[in-house]
Amino acid sequence: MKKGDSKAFDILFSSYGKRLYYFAYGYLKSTEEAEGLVQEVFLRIWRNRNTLKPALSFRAYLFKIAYHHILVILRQNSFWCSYRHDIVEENIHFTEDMNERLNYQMLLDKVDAIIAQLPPRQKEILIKRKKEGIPVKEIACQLELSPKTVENHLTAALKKVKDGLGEEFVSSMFI
Amino acid sequence: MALIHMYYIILNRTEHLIRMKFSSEIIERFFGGRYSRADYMVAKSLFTDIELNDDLVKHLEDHWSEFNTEPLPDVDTNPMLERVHRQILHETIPGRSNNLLSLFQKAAAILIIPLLLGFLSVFYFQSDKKPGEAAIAEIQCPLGVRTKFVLPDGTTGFLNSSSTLEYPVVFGNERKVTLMGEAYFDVRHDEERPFVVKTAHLNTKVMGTQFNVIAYENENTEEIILREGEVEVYSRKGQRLGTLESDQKLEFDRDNRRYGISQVESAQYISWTEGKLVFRNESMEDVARRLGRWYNVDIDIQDPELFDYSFRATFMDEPLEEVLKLLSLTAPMSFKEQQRVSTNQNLFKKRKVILRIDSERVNAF
Repeated sequence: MKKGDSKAFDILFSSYGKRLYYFAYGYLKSTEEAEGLVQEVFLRIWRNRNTLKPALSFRAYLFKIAYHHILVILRQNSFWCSYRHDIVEENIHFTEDMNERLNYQMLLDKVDAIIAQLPPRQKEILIKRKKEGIPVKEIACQLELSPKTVENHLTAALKKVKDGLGEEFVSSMFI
Repeated sequence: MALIHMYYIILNRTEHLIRMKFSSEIIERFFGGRYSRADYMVAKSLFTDIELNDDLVKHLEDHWSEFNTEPLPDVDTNPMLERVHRQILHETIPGRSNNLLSLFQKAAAILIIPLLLGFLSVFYFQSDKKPGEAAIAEIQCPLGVRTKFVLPDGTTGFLNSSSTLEYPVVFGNERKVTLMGEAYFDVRHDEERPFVVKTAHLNTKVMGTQFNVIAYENENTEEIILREGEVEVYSRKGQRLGTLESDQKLEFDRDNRRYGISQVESAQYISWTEGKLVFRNESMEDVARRLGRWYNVDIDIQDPELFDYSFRATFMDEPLEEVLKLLSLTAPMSFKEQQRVSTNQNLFKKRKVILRIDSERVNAF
């Protein structure tokens, strides 16, 4: 590959791409982030192909680059503060027992699933408000709706989320 | 008493979070997707602490080397490979000019050699008189004043109210300066000698670019705002935290040792160098903090309802009363300046302004 051979590059990708993807996914918990990471890492390998040292194991080299990129994402507080956590927090009162024994990943997945099933307008408004943090007034301007209408959509959306995260569901989430 | 007790608990909690012990079981559960909220909190604190835990680094390395032997579910990685190919193609099209460039570089290198020899000999003959390493200069900027500075390497900038900048009279291999407070730097480009700004918790490293650093001693955040180019931010112990691009801000929280990077309008953070006070959708809290610094006054927000409002405004050479009056027009807010009291040494205490919600006008907004 040092000679700029793109076939060799494809072979490297086919032997390490999938592993890297699952490794990244395990930590980043998002297919989008994991895909982006795999692309970024291999692109960097291609760019640095002239400085590759044949003596160094490729696996270790790949890890070095991947590790660095995964950490840059994981080390940002914003990565851990996604709106899904806020929604969980607002709807579920965590007892110590729940803190220890509830499958938290399934809870987060459930939030995503509920949001995915909302009517388009409600979904759009909920995401703008909760994920992007846009004030109601501004959402109203953007969508050319009255603030009252936006508020109503938001309330309806949040109600559905709350119902979806009801006690019955939560109790099924114990590990 | 109750208040003190609560404060104690909160303190204890953060302490607990910071000193979170490493546990490979928890990280394994987190990775595997079957983890509790308590596990999640531990993972979060381990990954986001400004200094990475050595055991965690080791765990990740081991995990990767083992990971190569585990069987994996199926996923179609072809779209990813295709995107990489597309990007590579995109990058190699202007390849011809690259070759031309490298030809120029070779030519330039040949031309530079005699120059370099000349330079080296000057260096060699001068090297016996070493510059005293301890010669440190300091610029102090009092409250309510801005100062323009020029450093020995030609880097220029501004120092904001109540800030101190320390720098060696002669720069060595690295151009290191230490900042307490806020400063704006326009760094003279020099690939060979990176320019590093040290603050209480962060090291910001650049080659040549324009950026703003805020690290006041009495506040609990440090911020780096990049106007143009690229800067790298490290913890004081050398952990790399990330690279900022134009119009990005890194904010570090000193209390919980966490940080985040966000997109901002850098102009509003830099306008102070021109004597302008610019707010662009800034929260009430940030507005109060910046006004406090600018006018050397304590601003106290009494009603939490006010936190919901954000402001967009530009002020130049306006007295504080005028600024507050204008801000009150855009939000249901009222303000009152407290009588200044003098201490028993006949000194007046800092000015204090109290902001309250104007409940009669709430519905108008």
